[in-house]
Amino acid sequence: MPDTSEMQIATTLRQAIPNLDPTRSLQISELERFYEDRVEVTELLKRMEVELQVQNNCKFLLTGHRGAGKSSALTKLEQMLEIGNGLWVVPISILDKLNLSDVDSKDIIFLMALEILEQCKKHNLKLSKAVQLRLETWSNEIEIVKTIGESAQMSAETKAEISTPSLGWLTLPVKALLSVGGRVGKETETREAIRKTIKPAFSELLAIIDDLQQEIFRLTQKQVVCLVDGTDKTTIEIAETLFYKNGADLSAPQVSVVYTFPVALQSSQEFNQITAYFNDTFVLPNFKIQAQQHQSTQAEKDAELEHCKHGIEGLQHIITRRVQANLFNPVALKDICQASGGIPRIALQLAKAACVNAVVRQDTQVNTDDVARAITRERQAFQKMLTYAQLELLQDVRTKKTIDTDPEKGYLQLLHNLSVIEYVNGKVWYDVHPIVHDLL
Amino acid sequence: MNTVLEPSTLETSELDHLAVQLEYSNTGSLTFCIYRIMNDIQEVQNALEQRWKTKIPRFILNSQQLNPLRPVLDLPLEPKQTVFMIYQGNLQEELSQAAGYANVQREILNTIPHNVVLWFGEEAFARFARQAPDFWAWHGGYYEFLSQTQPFTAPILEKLRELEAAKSDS
Repeated sequence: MPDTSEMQIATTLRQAIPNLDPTRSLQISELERFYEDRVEVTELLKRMEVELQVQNNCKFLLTGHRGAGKSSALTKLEQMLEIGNGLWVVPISILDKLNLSDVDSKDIIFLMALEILEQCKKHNLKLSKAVQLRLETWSNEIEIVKTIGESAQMSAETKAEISTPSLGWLTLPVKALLSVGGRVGKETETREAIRKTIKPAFSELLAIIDDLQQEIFRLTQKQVVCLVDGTDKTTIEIAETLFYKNGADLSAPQVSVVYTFPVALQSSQEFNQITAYFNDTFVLPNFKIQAQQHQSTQAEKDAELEHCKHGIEGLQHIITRRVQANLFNPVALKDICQASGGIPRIALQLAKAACVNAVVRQDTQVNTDDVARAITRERQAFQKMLTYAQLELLQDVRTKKTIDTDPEKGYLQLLHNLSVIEYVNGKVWYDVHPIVHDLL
Repeated sequence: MNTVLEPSTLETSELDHLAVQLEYSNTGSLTFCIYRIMNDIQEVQNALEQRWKTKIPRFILNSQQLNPLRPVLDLPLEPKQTVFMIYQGNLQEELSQAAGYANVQREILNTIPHNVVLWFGEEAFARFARQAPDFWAWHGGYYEFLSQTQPFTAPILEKLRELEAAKSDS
């Protein structure tokens, strides 16, 4: 079985290798020990929390570089909102339930309704007869129930669950509908059937969500907030369709929603139009480890250098929360953070590779040579991946510290493949990833 | 100068690093390996099988199956295995399809215990990483096993040595 056990701090290099796995997202129970709070993110999440508490029905975008910690930040926000009371939090991962290669805005709203319903079930909320009736009518109208009910792929467990006589307030069609939740859009047949029935009934779907949120408020005095993770992980083209062409759908439900959003689209020319659908965009900053080489006063330069020092320390803490600090030579640890460009996932990747190198050397501590080898490896991969034309664009970014946001020019692809990193030091600027620097 | 052509030799240091990384990764680790000729893969596979005393399942990605994660889903969850996926499709639409699958299905790696080692030729890797940046971003290791010479069978190698020797004698 996959390892879902809680992480323990590594005391040896061999234990450090799995702990530094870049694909491993923190679970809510691991936040306290392994999540590195940083002022910029804490402030950002606090601001989101306050806005979600004081405004009803707001729609936010949460963006940041790939690997900057959006999923962890969303988990942290979920925890903050639950502790804060007053809000009924519905975490939604479209990665588990939808097919990212063919996801539609209406699929997401349909999933949202199911997840809100699932939360009601989880918290044993007794919905009013009127809402139950509306849900039942709606469920009956949705052909998908029939499609799935007849599907040979329906698990025995689901069949047993649906045929259970003691359904409580969940009527048979509603329960059957919930059972669809696990594969809202994973199977082509299901996906097509949902779209066929949901498209004409979209306004009814929105009304159901509205009913549910009113009912939840009546019973708990809490407003619904949906935290939708994964909407940043589609291709740029699909994200463009979701947020640019169908932004109105995503902003239609009468509940508060936070969507994750791809950073490359935030730098595109379409972004101005996208913002019209959403109340605000929150940008999760990278760790600031590099000062911008612009003309400024000595005091400003000193302040920026101090900020970068804090950035390096923050990244070091992300690593040393997972592994004992003495497993890394201090200079080696600093080298990792410098080379990461301020992106936590890259810092973890380099740290993991450096641990492997140290184990092969049969040492008990990572040294600077181990880190240098890890960096060289990553650089070799970039070297293979980048075209000559892209290297020329990178030269341009290195000199001008800016990018052309016209998609035709190719700079957005560089941002998407992380060979260019966006920094925010008062104003937004761009630079070449430190690992790529030596290729130019 | 007396140049002797040797068969491709395994980059043992690279192999050690790959082996350690795979041995200590917990779940669903993703590793990219670059090869030049099929013999490069075979040598790594032989060495790892000998080291671990177990067979490494190997799947070919081509027009019949382009989804790099699909075959792994069909494996039983236990015991944890290392799986070789070798890309042998073309460099155009098949590669784009494979990249498309990988990019949007990478979360599967969080649900399986197996180590996935994806093997690409140099050009195929370059194109794949460009087209599947989100999938590539999840890599836990990157290794190159690029033999410097074409492999020679023993008789051909012997003949070449004879020719080299004859040339230097004359």
